[in-house]
Amino acid sequence: MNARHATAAATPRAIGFAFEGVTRRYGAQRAVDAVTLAFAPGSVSALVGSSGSGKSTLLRLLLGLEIADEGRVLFDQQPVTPDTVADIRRACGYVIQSGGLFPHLSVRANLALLPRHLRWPADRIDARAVELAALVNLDSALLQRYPHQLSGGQRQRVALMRALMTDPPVLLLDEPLGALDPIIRHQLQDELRTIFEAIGKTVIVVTHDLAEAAFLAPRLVLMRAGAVVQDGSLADLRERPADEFVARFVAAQRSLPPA
Amino acid sequence: MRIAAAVRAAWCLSAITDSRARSAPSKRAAFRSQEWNITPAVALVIAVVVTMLLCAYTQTARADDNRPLVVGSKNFTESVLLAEIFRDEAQRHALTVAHRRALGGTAILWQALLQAQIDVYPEYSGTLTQELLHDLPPHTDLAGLRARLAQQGIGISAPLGFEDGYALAVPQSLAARLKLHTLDDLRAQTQLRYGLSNEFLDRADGWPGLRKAYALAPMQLQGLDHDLAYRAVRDGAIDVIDVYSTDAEILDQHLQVLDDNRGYFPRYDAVLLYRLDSAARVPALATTLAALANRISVADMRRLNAEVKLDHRDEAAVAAAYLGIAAPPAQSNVVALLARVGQRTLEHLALVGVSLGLALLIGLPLGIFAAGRPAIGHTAVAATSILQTIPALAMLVFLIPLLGIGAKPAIAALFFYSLLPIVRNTVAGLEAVDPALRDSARALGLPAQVRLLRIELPLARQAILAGISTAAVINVGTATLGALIGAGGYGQPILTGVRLGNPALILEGAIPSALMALAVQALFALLAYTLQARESQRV
Repeated sequence: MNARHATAAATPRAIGFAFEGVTRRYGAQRAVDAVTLAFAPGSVSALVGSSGSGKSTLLRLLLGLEIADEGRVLFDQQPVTPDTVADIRRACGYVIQSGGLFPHLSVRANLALLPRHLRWPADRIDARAVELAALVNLDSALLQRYPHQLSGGQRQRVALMRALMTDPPVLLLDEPLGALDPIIRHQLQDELRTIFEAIGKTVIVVTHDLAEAAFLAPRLVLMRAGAVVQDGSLADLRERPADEFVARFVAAQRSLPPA
Repeated sequence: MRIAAAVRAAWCLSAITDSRARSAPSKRAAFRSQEWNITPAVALVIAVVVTMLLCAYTQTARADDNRPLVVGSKNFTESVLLAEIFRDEAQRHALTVAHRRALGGTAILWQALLQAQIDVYPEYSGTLTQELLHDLPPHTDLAGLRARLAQQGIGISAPLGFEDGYALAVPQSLAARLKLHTLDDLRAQTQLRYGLSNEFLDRADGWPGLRKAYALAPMQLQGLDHDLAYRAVRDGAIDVIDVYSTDAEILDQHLQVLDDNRGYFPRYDAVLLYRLDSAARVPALATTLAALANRISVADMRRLNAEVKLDHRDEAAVAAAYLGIAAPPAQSNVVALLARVGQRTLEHLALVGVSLGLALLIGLPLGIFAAGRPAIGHTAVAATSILQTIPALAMLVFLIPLLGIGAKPAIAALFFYSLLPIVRNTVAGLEAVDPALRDSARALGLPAQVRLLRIELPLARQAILAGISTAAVINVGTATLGALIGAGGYGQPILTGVRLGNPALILEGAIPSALMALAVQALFALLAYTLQARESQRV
């Protein structure tokens, strides 16, 4: 654990992970159904699908927020178990649609939660916050504010900063832009792609928007009813759809009608 | 681990004042200055709690002193008068005695004597055979009582000179109309409305035996406080009440005492019970007791009772006048009132504060542990709910054998009553935390105790504070019952006021008690508001 913290500021070792025949049931329903997937160190992937297709649950399984009923989740070749889950969580930055910022803490206090627990000195926390504010285009003056005093876009930027504070090798984003208006969303898509290229981490983005997925990630994993339907590039999905559903999903992306 | 965290959470309840900036020295100043800004409300709460603890401490310290002899009295005028008379007589024998007055019923005084919380109290021979020493035959004589009591380390004085037995009485007009002379005459009049004191209804030598002995079967029977019964019979709300043969009201209210023609009621000779070890330690106790033997006649006693109950004179003054000694010096009214109220305020704050503090120490961790564990949560809330349903008086009597009389059993009872709101609101507050926020905290990789202290408790704070506030307000009200077991506080004047039918005295306790409840509520509202404001109004 401590070794990782010591190297946190340096470029971290990229980490890969894999799902091996993983099933997660809620009662009779299979939220994730016999999924086998591997994510190479340093790769950027998107999980796409309608809501309820199981893509968020995959992230939660990886973080140990859910436990697989069958199969194994491997993180850096280690199975996710109650013993390893603390280290795994600290090796992952996690951003959810609502931001997940704690309303009773200032932006800075939100950012400082984990670093302070890891006994970072205050000046290091502040320096890192300023550095990340620049990365995500956030005015440093906003660090003093509370989450409800920020716009939706600013909140997601802060959530991303919080996920990146300790420079974890893995970044997991669950519908990070889902609640934003189109202009902010567009702008943040640009920024996210730049950031993904700059930080060299293993990234998974969950989104129901194929265009967003394709813009952010070279690899698309299309899910339906807990199972992987197709795993490939946008070109694969377009030109060689695995089935009727994939073809319909691709066709359902609306562009502006010709002027 | 979670428990340890919980205990820490409890005392720095102000996870609250918000552990925002905990460790790290130096450069944090910019952030810290505002985060550690202790608001007036927080300071006020801390000050109040510290005051309460100090009150409690001094209270305890006083009790542990090498105390003078203590005479106790039951919660009725005659008992208080007899204790005062004993105290005044003792003073003549150069013996200083403290009087813990109006402590409640027989059970409380007897337990207090056995537990050496008091050294002496006035009792009646009939009560001993009927209520306390069940192994004795009902008409055991004084020598028999003395031998039996000695086994328990208790002595019994010579009779004081009068008998104060139970009797039933009806208004004279009613007696004349229905030709009621004896208890036998009551049997045919089943339409009469009986209002009997609760103690009389419960005790073996009271109503249960009387009903059998005379085959009484009234259609209407209710339990009342003895003093309220006189008012009810005067107002015509009831017809038959139980009286003591020395009650002043018998003459004043034109009541007819019905003759116990079958000799059902045992003799109730007034005596003083005392601890034999106290008599050995303080020789003057025996001479005081001897001086009081056969001193007080029934007529005397009825007159003394009337002077207190009907002429509204102070018991201490009446007792002193009876013995022909100087009455206790009267202070200026306002000064005396302020001093009394101030003293009771301290006592009351100590009862409420200490019990609430203990309830926080136990209730918060229990609530935290139970949150998210439905089985344990339901059990904990159900258990604390059951505690809530135990009547205060019953709870106090249960606690006396364990904790004696005074502040301790009162604090224990208030502690039990405080648990439910605190546990229930802590569970509810924690379970209401947004699951997305809880998961965000887990996904950050923070350990459970940090999540609890930094995230979950602060987010549940409003509900928890509301629970604590409820408990505190309920405690302020319930603590008035502590006077029944000598815990002091605002209940003292209320109890005395009810006993003497003195509304001013009742208000002397009721008004400060209501004010304290309002103040406590306002304090918690201010605390919640301030904490809220710190989060939302800062830019």
